[in-house]
Amino acid sequence: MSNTAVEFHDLGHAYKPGRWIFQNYNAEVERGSIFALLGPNGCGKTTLLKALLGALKPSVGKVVIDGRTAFVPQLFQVTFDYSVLDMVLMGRARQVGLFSQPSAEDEEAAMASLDRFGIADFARHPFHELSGGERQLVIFARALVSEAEILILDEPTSALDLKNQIVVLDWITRLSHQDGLTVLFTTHHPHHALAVADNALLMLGGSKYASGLASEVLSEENLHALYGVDLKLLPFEHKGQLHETLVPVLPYASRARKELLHPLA
Amino acid sequence: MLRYLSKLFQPREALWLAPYLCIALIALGLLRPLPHFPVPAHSRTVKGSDGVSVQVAQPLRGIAFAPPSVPDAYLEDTHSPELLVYVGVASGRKWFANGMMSWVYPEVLKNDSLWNAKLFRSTSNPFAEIETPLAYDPSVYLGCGSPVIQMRSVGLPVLTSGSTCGGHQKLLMCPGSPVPPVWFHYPEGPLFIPLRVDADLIGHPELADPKISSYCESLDELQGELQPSTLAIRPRVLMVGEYKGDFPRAGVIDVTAERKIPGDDAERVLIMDPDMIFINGFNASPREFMDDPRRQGLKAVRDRRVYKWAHGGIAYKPAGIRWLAEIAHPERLQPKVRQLLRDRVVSEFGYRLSEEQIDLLLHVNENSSSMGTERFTRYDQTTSEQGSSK
Amino acid sequence: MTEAIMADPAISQAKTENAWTQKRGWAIPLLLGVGVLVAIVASLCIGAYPMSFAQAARIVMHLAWPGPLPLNPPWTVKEITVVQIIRLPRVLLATLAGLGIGISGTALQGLMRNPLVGPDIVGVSSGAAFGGVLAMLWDLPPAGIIGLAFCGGMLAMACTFGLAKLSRAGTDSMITILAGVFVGAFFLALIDLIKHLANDAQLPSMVFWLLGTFVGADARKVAMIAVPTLCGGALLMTLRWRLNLLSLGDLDATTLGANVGVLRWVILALVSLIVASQVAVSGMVGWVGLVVPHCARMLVGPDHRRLLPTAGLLGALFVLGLDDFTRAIMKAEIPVGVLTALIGTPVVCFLLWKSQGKGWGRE
Repeated sequence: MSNTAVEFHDLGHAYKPGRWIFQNYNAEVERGSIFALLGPNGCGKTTLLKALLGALKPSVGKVVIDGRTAFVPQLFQVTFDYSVLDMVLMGRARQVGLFSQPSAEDEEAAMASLDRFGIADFARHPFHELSGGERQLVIFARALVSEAEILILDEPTSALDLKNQIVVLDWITRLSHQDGLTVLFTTHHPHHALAVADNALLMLGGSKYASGLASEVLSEENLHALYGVDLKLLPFEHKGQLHETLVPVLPYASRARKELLHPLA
Repeated sequence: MLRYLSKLFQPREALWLAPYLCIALIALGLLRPLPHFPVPAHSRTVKGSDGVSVQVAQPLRGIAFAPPSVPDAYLEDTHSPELLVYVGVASGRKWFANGMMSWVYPEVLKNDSLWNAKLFRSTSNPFAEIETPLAYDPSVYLGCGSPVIQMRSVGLPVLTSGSTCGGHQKLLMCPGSPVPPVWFHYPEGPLFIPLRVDADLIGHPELADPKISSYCESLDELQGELQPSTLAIRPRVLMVGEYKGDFPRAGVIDVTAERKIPGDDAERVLIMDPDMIFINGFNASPREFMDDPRRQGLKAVRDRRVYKWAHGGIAYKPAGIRWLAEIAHPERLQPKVRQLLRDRVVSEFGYRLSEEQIDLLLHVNENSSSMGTERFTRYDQTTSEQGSSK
Repeated sequence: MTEAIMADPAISQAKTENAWTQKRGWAIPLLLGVGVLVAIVASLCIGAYPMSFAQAARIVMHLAWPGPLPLNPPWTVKEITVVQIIRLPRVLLATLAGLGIGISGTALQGLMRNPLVGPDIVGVSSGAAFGGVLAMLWDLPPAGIIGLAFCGGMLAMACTFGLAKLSRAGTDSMITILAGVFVGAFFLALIDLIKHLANDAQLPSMVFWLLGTFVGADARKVAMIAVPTLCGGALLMTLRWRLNLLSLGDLDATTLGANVGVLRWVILALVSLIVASQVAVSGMVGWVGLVVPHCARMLVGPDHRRLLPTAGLLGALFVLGLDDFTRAIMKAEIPVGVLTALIGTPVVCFLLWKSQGKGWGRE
């Protein structure tokens, strides 16, 4: 197994000829690292993800994936009310033979996976009865049980409340550091990317993109070019450690809310 | 592969598989050879009207009819209603109730065990009808048509003797009669052959010959009176329906044979323009036929010569042939039909037909507006020699 | 515990529960399996010829068990004739038809992610019926009827999903269902054309056959339906867990590792085969493929590992029960297809009304 889990060269896709969503993308994702993809809506994040997953054949370019992938989608609409255990068990598709049914070992692995995320008590509950955060964890458990080496997530925090966002981001980091998974995720929140990602790619439109170490790529200039809004890089101290985060500057509110304004000394 | 099979036989998978496996095994069981009824220890061979011989268990335990059948011919031939164990369905019972045999043998009509009321009409399911006679245990079945083939395929003893099945045997003719072109055009075909088979079946073959002789004698009498060879004019007759009748002996010509135009379509009838038209059917009404505006161009309608054919219990019989002859040639024949009918039934069955019953058999009411039918009524005054009711 | 807490994996609060050791898990397959077999034997007792349950059971067991029949059997020749020739073919026909429709309806619902579809809605039944009447028009032998019925069914299926693909709809959208309705209607119109072209000898049997009936069952017809249904059904059974994957949606299924394209066409082909064999021997028996999977889902849940066999057995019970009803109670035999429509349509309306409250597309 090489050190590079995912790489793509000259990747580009156009749904209609001449209308390129993105062009000439190159990147390499190191094994065991966390990679963030950022970009405004409609710039092709989901298309890029689908190309990486093999669900879409890109118009040009090559995607090389070394290892099994697992996908955590943004929304899960399940027609039938499967139980949580059934959902996680479906992750064993690669282990279970084509004409076979899951064995007791498969079910044990599913339960162990649920246990890992602390939601083993929900095993018999219907999936749709769970909250958004719990569902996210179930899908994580499914990804884990499929023994995938590469985890691809589509906006994992968009539909979650604050607490669950933190839970999910922490799990992403754990999975990468403790289990050695390579994690790719798209996000709308640059501060999330800054908090957890090792590397990042900003999709600036057309064939422009910025790729590299997250701490370098997620600069104020790049983010301003990407989103068209001001973001400030803010260092802070927590338990004796220095961290950085990104904070948006609201154009009007930052001027109008006088109680927050203090003149510089 | 072995691992896969071992997974299949885990208890949980096996529990789901088991019913399917059982169904498959049961389906495979259908591949076994068909069961066959053994030949009874004591039996007699009887040859049916289609030429097929059947082993009839002795002593005769009973006779059942294969669907769809009516017992009229059997009863007339054998006079043995006590041997019947099953006759037919409710619709057959209704049909039987309109015939002469139900008057002579009312016990057959009344005996509920002989009729199956559950099937009120015959279904298109052949097997449902076979199941019912199977429930009884006769020595032999009497039947005709496709149920016979199905029942014989499992080895059941089914004898064919009906008037419309057969004719494969050599025809029994009255002495001096020509052989008809089609076996059922002359009564010797549809009457004599089943008579012999039925008589043989009940173990009294000697019953057949006297009946045949008396029948042929009646026919000879009719021929003697009518002298068909000296007839100058033979009316052209259209017989609507399947019955073809004994036209030569009655001195008439079958118009459909002449022109070879089949059917009774109004246009075709106009082309043929027969002298007399005979209609049949439960609701057939000569009055309605003659009032129908489509038919006003017909000679037979103008001359009021449309009749309802007296099928009932007298088709092919001397009374029936004489009835046709008397309508066609009233000047040569004395009105003797009622008396003939009455006498024959008395001598054969010991049953006295009432005047109403004879009226029914001859369709006197329906034919009352047609020409030449006064002689068939009970109060006929046209001739002085013959009296009327008694 | 309502919120997910970052738990140390070493502390495991749940025991691994194996679903099959739950009491409910054993009871239902046992009850259904025994129920179907009891129903088969009981159905053999219905009819004009008197037959006791014990006798029928004895005969069936000896017929099914491989090996020659005993020389001095405890039954009369008449009894085994009634069972083997008259009643068993019809009972088996009804059972296998119900089995096939139940399984194929469930597979179709899983594939199309829609619990309100059935083989008749997708157009397969109409296509197969069209193939059948065409074969009857040309006076083909029974093998020809089933072959043409299968081709008709596959053709209708291909048209439906081809139309859906042309309008860029997935297998799960309403567009596919509408396409199925249109294709079905088209083939029904073709069937009417064939009825018009048929001569007087062929027409009554054609019409009767189209109504859906098990009348006139014999060993040959049972073979015609048993082989495709049991073989195709067995194959579908091995693929039943994959149906779970497919019911998640194309993207999810692909990323999980299932070969969606191939699987979909294989399952559609198997469904088409089973439905075609059923239509070829007994005409269009509709609505069962829609109602039975629903009832099965209410009984054992949506997991296809349990659902598919349950739906098969429930379907067998349902159709067999209806056929027994029409044989025994009714004086005039109502064709089974008419009965399933009379019962199925109100049930579907009821299910639709109930589902609007909850919404079966869960989010």
